[in-house]
Amino acid sequence: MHNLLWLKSAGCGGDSISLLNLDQPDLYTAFKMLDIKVVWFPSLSFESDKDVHEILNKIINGEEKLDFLMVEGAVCDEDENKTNYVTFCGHPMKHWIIELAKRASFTIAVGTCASFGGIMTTGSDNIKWMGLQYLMKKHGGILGVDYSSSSGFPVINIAGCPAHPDWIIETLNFITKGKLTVDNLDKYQRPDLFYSKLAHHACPRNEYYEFKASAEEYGQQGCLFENLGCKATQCESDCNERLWLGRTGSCTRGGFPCISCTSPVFPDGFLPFFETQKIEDIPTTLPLDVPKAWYVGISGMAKLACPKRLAVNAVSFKKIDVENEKEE
Amino acid sequence: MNKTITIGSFSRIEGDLEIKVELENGKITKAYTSGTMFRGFERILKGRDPMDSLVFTCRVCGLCGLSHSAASSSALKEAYKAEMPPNAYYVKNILLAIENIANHLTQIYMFFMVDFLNKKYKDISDYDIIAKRYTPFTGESQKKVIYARKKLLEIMGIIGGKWPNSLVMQPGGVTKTLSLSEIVSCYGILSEIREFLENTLLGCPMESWLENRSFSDIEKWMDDEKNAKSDLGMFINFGTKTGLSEIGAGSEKLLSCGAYEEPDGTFWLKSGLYDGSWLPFEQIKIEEHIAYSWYEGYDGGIHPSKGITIPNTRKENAYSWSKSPRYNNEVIEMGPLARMLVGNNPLASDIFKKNGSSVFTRQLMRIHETIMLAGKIKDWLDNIDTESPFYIKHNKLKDCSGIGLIEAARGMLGHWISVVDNRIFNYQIITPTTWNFSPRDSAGNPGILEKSLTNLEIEDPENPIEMYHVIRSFDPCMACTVHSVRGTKNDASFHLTI
Repeated sequence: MHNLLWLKSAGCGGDSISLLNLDQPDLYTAFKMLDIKVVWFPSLSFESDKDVHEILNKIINGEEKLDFLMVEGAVCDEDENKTNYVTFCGHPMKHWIIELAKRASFTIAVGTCASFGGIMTTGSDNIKWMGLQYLMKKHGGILGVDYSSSSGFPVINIAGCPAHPDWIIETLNFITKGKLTVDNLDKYQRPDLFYSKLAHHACPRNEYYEFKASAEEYGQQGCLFENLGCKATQCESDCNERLWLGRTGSCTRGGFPCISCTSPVFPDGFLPFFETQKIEDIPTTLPLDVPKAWYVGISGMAKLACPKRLAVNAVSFKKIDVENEKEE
Repeated sequence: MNKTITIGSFSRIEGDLEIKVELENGKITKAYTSGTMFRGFERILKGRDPMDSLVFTCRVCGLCGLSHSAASSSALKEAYKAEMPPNAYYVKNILLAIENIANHLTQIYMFFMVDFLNKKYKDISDYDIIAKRYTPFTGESQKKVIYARKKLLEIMGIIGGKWPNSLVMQPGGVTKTLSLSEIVSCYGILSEIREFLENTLLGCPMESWLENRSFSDIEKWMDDEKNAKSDLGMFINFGTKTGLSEIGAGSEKLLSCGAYEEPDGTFWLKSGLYDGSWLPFEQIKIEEHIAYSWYEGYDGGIHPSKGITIPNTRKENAYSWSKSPRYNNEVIEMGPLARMLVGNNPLASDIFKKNGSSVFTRQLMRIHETIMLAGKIKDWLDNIDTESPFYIKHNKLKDCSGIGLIEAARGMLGHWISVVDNRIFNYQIITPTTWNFSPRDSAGNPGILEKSLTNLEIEDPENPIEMYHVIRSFDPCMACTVHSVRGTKNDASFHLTI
């Protein structure tokens, strides 16, 4: 039996909601399958108020073990005697996270806010929002550079806004099966199983991408990279292979640009969201693993080689049949 | 005997909420509501590209983010003078309906019914059935609803790509161009949802339930054993035994800004103010007060388009970081009950005229609306013409302003944007929970929840389950109460002894 506690810090609750969307199997079956006992989960549990306080104290006193400490939302580095921007059971959330993390076998940040600070870092207010072990790309966070949980792991970051439910449950699955090692975490402590690909992989618009046949406005079939701000070639995730909501969709399949929500510098590292910035017609947001000179050369060639079928359909919202052009 | 109860760290609501009440001889004499989390989206948005509001506001709330997308895209549509093709109206309505049904199902099963497991009700007959069905994580109906809910959201995946935080809604329409085969998939998913609603929630065809036009019709409906044994039947049965129709009276005035706009500008659920009869809704009558909120800068109420948000953590008598929105200076309730009454739904009107508003009425209308919506989605799908566009390109205006008003699951959601020199100059959001859970206004009138809790009898102050029912009947979404700030510890702890 593995005990799991979920805490909501400053956030929208979207990661809890995303977890409820778990498919193959559904969430309750998954908990059963992984032999997970939910000690407390804010959206679902019966207990409120004093009962929750008691649960937390039992863990801190060592009366109840804690296998998985899951946190969603950004944490505020605040002095309890001065401010209380995000409080829980009478104390700042920071207090609970630090105390509970000492007891946890695994401490897991769910979502980009808990991982890196996310959207909360964009305010101009002088409030110190951060993730559990990072503030954007800077190692440290609320728990500090040296933190590791009792299993020897640093904080495991399941980034994403929201995190895909599979990423959360599969991480728990690999841990309970003893198959996750510290080496499986990437440089931002994300499990490389989910974050070593690009959201661009398996995008159905890839043929358009190859020939630089680009959509000029929403609703059209072409690639969203060149004009409409798509960051899928920079976004480390397997979104378009894995797909969302019962494997039915992804951002680019929904027709809107990827905004790279799994990144430590999300969201403001990816401005503007809906336009592509260019220098002399070359996007400044080139794919992560393609050298610029090569990109310029290849894309020029690709445009020249673009079949009429793609050129025509890229800027059309509905499919237009074009006869194959044969080589003359 | 006087006593103060403070409840915080709520489970089964979205966001952070603290309620303080004063009890005299087991009866609540005064109630105070406050949020305990600061995120400050309006301040984040100031100075940004207006289009950024689409990315940021859907992240206000994980449960109803698409409603924020709808309000935000609608405010930008007005500001930029954009136009939408008919398909976009249908698709936006479908997506909003899916989000609202998902919210309602979550509230009904995972948030509300669970309170019937309270130890106070252990000796009521059928408690064993309640426990068997609604225990979190393991209850029979809980397992069914978590499956149905995720199945329903597959329509969101097909159209919206992902959820929460889809960017499919834009000022000029929707980014998704649907194919015929995708529409067929949506029909398929809808019929699975119908099966869940009919077999588990209702015990009868959706149409048979919708034929109920009065409370006596419902009594007759309950005579059928299959209906009485359904989850709705259990709610009616247990809700009656636990006295839910006697508690939680809200306002006599309820409001809806109109829900599900059609291409011709009409609404499927019409807009208006209900106070026994129908009056037209005029958004200019909305004002926000800050008399008991930790803000300064003005007295009385001001319209959100001119909204001012200057925190003052040392303000005397203030006890909330939520402002107090009022309509024509009056305290207004909103949500599914309001939409049904304003829309002149016969069942809602009959029950309201007999019993007034109550936990029971509010909850029953949430279920009723769920069924109506699940039926209506098919019409919008039927209307989509895959040979026509879903999006029309628009210009960005340098200086402009716009209003986006929509009906989210919990009631009216408003976004007010003003743009100066291509940057957001002011962005104000008023969420339904800000209306329902507001503190006292300039005239000292309590907000709806505060009013609903007043005079409530609490059998056991150590187990104030009656309060939980009232609070949850509004389905509070505190993550949405975006004005919420909490100041220094000393300022925020609020003591009032009488």
